[in-house]
Amino acid sequence: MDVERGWLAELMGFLRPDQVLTGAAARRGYDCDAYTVDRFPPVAIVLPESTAEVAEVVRWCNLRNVPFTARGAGTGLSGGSLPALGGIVISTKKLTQILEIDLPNRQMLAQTGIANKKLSDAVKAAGLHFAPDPSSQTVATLGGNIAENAGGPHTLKYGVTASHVVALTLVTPEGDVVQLGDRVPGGPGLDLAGLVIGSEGTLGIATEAWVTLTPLPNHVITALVAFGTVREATESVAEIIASGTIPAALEIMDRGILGALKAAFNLEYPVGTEALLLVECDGDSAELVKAEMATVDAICRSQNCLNLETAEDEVARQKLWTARKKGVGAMGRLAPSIVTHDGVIPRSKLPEMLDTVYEVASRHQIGVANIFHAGDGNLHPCFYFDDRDPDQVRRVVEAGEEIMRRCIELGGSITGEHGIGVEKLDLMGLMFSPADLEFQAQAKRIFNDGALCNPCKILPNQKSCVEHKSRWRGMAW
Amino acid sequence: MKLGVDSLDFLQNAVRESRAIRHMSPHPFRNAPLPEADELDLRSYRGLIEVHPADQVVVVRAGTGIRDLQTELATQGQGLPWVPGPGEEENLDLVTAIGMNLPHLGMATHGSWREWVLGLTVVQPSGEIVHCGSRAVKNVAGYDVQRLLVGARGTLGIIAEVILRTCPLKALPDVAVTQAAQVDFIQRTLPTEFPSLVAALGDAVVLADKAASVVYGVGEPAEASTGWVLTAGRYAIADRVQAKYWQRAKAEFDPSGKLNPGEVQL
Ligand SMILES: Cc1cc2nc3c(=O)[nH]c(=O)nc-3n(C[C@H](O)[C@H](O)[C@H](O)COP(=O)(O)OP(=O)(O)OC[C@H]3O[C@@H](n4cnc5c(N)ncnc54)[C@H](O)[C@@H]3O)c2cc1C
Repeated sequence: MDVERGWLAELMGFLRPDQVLTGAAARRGYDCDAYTVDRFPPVAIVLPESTAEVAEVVRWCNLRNVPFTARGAGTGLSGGSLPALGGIVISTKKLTQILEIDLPNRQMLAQTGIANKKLSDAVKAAGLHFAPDPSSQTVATLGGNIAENAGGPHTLKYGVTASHVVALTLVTPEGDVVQLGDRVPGGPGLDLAGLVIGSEGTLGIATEAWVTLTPLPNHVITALVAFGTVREATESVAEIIASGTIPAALEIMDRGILGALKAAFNLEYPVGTEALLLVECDGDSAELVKAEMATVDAICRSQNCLNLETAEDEVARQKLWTARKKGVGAMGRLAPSIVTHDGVIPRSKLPEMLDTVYEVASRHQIGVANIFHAGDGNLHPCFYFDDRDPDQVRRVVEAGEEIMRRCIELGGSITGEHGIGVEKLDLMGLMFSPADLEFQAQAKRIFNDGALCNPCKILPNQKSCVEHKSRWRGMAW
Repeated sequence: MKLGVDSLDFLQNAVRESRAIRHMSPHPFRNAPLPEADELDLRSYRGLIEVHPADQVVVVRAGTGIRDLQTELATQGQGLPWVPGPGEEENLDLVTAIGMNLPHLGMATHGSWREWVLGLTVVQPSGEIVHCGSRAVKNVAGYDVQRLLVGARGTLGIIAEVILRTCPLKALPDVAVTQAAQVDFIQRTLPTEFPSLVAALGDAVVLADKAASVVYGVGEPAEASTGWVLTAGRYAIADRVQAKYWQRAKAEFDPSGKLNPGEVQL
């Protein structure tokens, strides 16, 4: 029997034809996310328009034993929405409504396919915003942010997605619809929403969420500081944190990024600049914000900064942000392929860790540029290379693993925001013992004790994934 | 049998050998201990293991009293942004405060245990010692089991050690500690419902934390259409979804029902 044709007829029984995509181009388009090393095409992509439709698709998948994987905008960087065992991709593309805005309680209910930035845009006039601000926020969806517990430059002060989502509607892996969490947080009982947030779509599909809205600060000062060495920039960050000052953002870009920015946009920085530090202080009291910035200023000067430029008005501030916002895109100029790593270390270890990154890259003879959330100790070493050359690919993989090992040795983590997905499956064993992993597996089974809902992610050695792995694992492995 | 825990080894052995264990301190919002369970007193398993003021992180044994922790942290220019509510035992141990996800007066500005607990060392009913989370303030590697254990009332594992995010002294909440007073319940609503809650409670209000929309009161809580109540007596789960998943969690983490039996009425 033509299984796939049979499937389609059944799916079309409860979805309109334009909600089911099966063409070769569509399947290819959904065979990976922004981590393009590993790929596998789904049999079909479905585009439900309501929680009920998502639930119906999931129940059908259970009935037919078909794997399914949720997908938002596909900007994930660890293969989270890769349909590792094929099956169905459930896209949230048509779940983009804002359902309720409750300004007095500073909360909003939205469907999860909406782009992150649209949430903030909708309440900007009321002086509010949705605080998590991943650099991908113009396209990355609320559901993707929830699944990855996304952060952004302002996470340092405002916290990650988990701190801003209070309740959600989840279609469980079995196809039930449940409400998790409470619009009034902090209560007794199990934090089930907290377990689902950050679980990379493996515990069900979030279709709606109540998010909290944060007042926009009345006063913001942004500073762009140039340093003659990377170490002076990282030492400044460690000192700023140690001083008890918590800026809204503390971001570093190194010479590799500056070179790319020059090549792509002709942006110039002071002669001798090896690193740029972007600092933003904000708050409701002008004096306090000024005082914070004065502390930052004094620390950066004591670390011999070459130049320190500040801005208060919106246009001038956005100009200072250009390097940070365009840095990742500019790297496309450096080489045919780029792998962006994501590791975390306790922030006092930044200076030491950055030295390690350069040493590892140079030993493996690969180019590296760094653009990262320094205040959180969240590194993003970007290796640029030519993926047509297997030897370069091998060196990139080895260098990446070495850096991750060092992050763990220093008491950090193998991912601060991009998640494990499939990319870092093999590194989980470096950070957690088999017993720790079984502890996590127990937590997973509370919601998902089958093998259909986004299989092969987060936990290594899942049944039916190991033998299948060679089909989706890219040449880099 | 009552046992004072003074090492992780001791705790591990005691857990392995016991058939039923209670392991949180007495608290007005908990039940009386069930007679047939062994009692493990974690309050003797206390003290700081690592302090990293520059990273604003501390690793501490779970029996440590919060006031003792604050005193130690203060010598390093750090503190926990915890401001005990009225009637709260000031030196309450961490294992109880975290197990109950106890509210406090700095919640509006500084969050609470679910944000502060970065990682845990847990003794499972089998005696297995496991870890979750990490010392990094930002970490998305794997499932956040630590979030599940905050508020689980000790029914899913015994928290032995805690990695906590700390805060520089000058950034601690600007809230005065209130005089001790008896409190029978803590109730929180949405901000818009808060004024009517306070009015309905009248004299029953001991303290109204307007910033967090939380009331500490005596007697009975008031009816409210939003929010939650923490109160004395057996902790009964009203929400069907909570009950279902708590049962599933229990089946995974403590299938023999050894940990804090009777603590939660499912
Ligand atoms: C240029 C660039 C910059 C980035 N910057 C940042 C950054 O600053 N901070 C950061 O944290 N990340 C960043 N990312 C990574 C990525 O954008 C985030 O992980 C984002 O949250 C993914 O959202 P998405 O809608 O694209 O999700 P997808 O990539 O489609 O999916 C990601 C995961 O979420 C699951 N998922 C999606 N929707 C749902 C749902 N409704 N319910 C359950 N599970 C679901 C998927 O199954 C998958 O596991 C960046 C990526 C790029 C390409």
